[in-house]
Amino acid sequence: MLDKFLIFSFGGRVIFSHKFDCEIEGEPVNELISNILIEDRTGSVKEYVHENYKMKWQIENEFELVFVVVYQRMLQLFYLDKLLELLQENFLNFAREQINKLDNPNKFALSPSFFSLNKLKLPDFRPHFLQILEQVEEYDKRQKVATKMRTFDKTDKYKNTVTAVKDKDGVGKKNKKKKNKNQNDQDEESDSEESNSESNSPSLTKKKKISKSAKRIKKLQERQKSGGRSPKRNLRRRGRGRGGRGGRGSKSKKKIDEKPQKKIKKPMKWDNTLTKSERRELDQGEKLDQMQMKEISKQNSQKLIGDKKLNLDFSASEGEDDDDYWELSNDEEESIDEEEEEEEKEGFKVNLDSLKKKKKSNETKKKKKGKVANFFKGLKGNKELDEETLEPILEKFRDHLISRNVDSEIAQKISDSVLLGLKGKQIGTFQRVVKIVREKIEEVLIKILTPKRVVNILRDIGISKKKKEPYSIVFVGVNGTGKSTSLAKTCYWLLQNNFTVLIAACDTFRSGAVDQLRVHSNVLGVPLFEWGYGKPPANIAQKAIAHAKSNNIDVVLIDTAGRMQDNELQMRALANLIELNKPNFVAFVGEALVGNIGKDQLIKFNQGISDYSKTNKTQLINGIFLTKFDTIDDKVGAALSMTYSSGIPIVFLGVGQQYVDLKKMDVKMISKTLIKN
Amino acid sequence: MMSTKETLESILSFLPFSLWTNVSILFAGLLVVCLLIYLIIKLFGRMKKSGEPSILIVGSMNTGKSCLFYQLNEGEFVETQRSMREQEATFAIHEKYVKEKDPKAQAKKYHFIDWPGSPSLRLRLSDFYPVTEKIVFVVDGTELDDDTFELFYKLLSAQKLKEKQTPFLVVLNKSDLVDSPDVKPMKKLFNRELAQLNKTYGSTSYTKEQEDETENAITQLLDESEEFLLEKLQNPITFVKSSIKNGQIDDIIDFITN
Repeated sequence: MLDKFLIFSFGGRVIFSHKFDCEIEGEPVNELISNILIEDRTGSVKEYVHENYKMKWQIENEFELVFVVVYQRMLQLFYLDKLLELLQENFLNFAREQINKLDNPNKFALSPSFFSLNKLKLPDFRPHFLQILEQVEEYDKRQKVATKMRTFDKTDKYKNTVTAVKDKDGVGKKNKKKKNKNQNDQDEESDSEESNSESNSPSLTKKKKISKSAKRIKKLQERQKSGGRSPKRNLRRRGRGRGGRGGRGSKSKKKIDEKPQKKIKKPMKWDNTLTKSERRELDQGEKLDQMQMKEISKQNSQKLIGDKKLNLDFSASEGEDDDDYWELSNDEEESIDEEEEEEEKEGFKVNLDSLKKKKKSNETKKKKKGKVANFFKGLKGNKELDEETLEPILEKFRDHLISRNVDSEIAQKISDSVLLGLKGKQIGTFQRVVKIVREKIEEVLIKILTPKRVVNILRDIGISKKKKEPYSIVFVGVNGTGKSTSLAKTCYWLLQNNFTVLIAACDTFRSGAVDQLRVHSNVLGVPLFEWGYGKPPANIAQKAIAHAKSNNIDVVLIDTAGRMQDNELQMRALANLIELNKPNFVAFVGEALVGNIGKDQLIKFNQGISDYSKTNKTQLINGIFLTKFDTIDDKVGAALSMTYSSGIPIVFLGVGQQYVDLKKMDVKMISKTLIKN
Repeated sequence: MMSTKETLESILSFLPFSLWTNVSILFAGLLVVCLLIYLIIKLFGRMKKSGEPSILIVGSMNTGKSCLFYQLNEGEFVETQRSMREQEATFAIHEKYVKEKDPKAQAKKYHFIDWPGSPSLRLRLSDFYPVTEKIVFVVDGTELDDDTFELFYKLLSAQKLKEKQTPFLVVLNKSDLVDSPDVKPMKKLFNRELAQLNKTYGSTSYTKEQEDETENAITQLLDESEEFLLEKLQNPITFVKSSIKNGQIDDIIDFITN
């Protein structure tokens, strides 16, 4: 079911890889690394899909390893998280063991460079891997089998049907029939037939059963008027129970004997005047305490595994420590049936034992959570970062980012991925945790803000010029963000670089839009292609580009009307314009003043352009112009929100209302501003 | 004969307080001094490490940089995935590649830095310019993209590398593949592409002055009017062909060891 399993280091070295039967198409793991791991988006997603493959991963920060499992996209495998955790632990113990086996174990120590530079050649991990995989898969299968639906005869309902009861009586009936010699052979046959058929096919409808049994009841009654215990009374009761309430059989019997008690609905208490017992009654959750739950789950898991020695405590409840989740304990009580497995298990026993020891030592370590212990640990130089220490610091940073106008969801995602990226990391003696967190956050911010592909518009224009085609740039955005002004600034910039420009006035909606552009074109000395107000913008753009081509103009700048991201009609019109004209560059103009909604605008614009176009491969937004950057002092968070959510690079910043106020984004400066206290 | 208490008192008489406070002050002072010494030693150790002259292995994604790193270290092909982080290590080149039987040459250790190819991780590369002695620029001859030339231009225009006249070695990797190009046509291609980039980084490329960030700023290399040739640049640039996967990296070894 799986396609590939990989263990590789942060630096890129593949430490262990196992390929299952099929060949993998393309490089899904590389895509995972590029899109998720490098950008530290690990906090927001748990699995990644690329073409036909889905991937799940586990990161080990202490030794800088990543464990990845690749499988088919359509499958839904629930045991993978557990498999990854198990493999992670097992692999590290395997490595530790190999070190301990050496003559001088102190020469080597487990560290990131141990794995990435292959200081000690480790033997093949494959047999261990396959064994663990097999066991986890089997456990999963058994879980599924265990919850298979019961057939009808095994339900309680069936037991209370007439046929079931009749089958019981059938035994007695036959005896009685033997006594009475005046038996109708047909009846006997039909009886036996029917009882057989009924026991074989309990899927007969209830009504059929009732009618058949009703007939037989009558016959019985006729036959046994004299004899023994008259089943009449009982049968009648059962018949009533059957017909009336639908199968409550014996239960209804009891109720007929007793007086039916009416259940009066008690009024609900909404204030705080509940007694303890009432509160317990209302509590629909667990009625057992933690210990009992643990017991039950352990029993369940042991029942299902049986002769296998792996005791996986899958069903641990949420409140428990994560340590108990993966208790690989060596249960000596369970007996081994097959001799083949004995040898394998002998080899595996060692691993499990060492695992158990490690578990215990881990548990004892974690018990000493006092501040004093941590202080001395810090002095020793081996302090490990965990959630407790990181969480309060991260909360402060989150609030700080939000105060800098970063979207709250995105601040949360960033802090989640920083937590995952620092968890388990060993820090030195005199290093302050706050400093490390700050450095890591700065690193993450830089990674997010740096574009994945370098955008060099001038170079692209040069290439188009060689092909003798005009390079078209479309400016889109919501109302009032500064599209026309950005267009004018871009025009000025291009003129400085000795390109010829044509402005196309495709904002035919807003009053004064065309006139505004006319003023700019007069000042800059650039031709304006316009067709007045009210005409369809897509056609104007088309004609403008054709005009530019015939007159050998290098660049066409197309201005569009401002529109809301939710307005379907307007988004359709925009998608139509883009599809028809296939511009080289689609620039989304957004303002830096905007809050959390900026991300929403950008995503919906991008989606709208792709959804409402008729073809599959459409031009999406290529870059962002972030305007009004001079109006925000240090609240530069909008830049981060936009880049994070869409992955689209910020091409320019608008820093004023003059033609020269166009600036390239300085990633380092923005990330520093975001962190500065 | 004075008792210990009196001797102590006389020794510590220069301190104004009572005996026991004097002792505690002395003790605290000793502790602070010890701490300072420890800190200084640690800092000194750290500083020394970072100043090591190193060889930088850079390039676009999927060109074979990490592969080269491991070939130099272990002498064999190691399977690699995309790097998420830079790798630094000091080691001597694997004996397989050292031709001379000269023990000195064999034992000489170099500090290699393998930098990931992903553009998102490129910003911090400029931090390593001060320690860079030589640059090995790995290129995949069969899959050239804009990113390769952008990165190359960026490295060439770095102020610190220009000053030191850091030598560049352009490695055309994957020479075992059928469509791998030769050195001469690649040189021409590089000249053409870089010429185009050169135009885009002129003085008028961005209207508003960039106040900060001089390390990552890309400046124009040569005057636009004249033909762009790599020979005109200050840094010596050499082109070689190799197949890192198959261990054909002799030219690279020569570059590193000379």
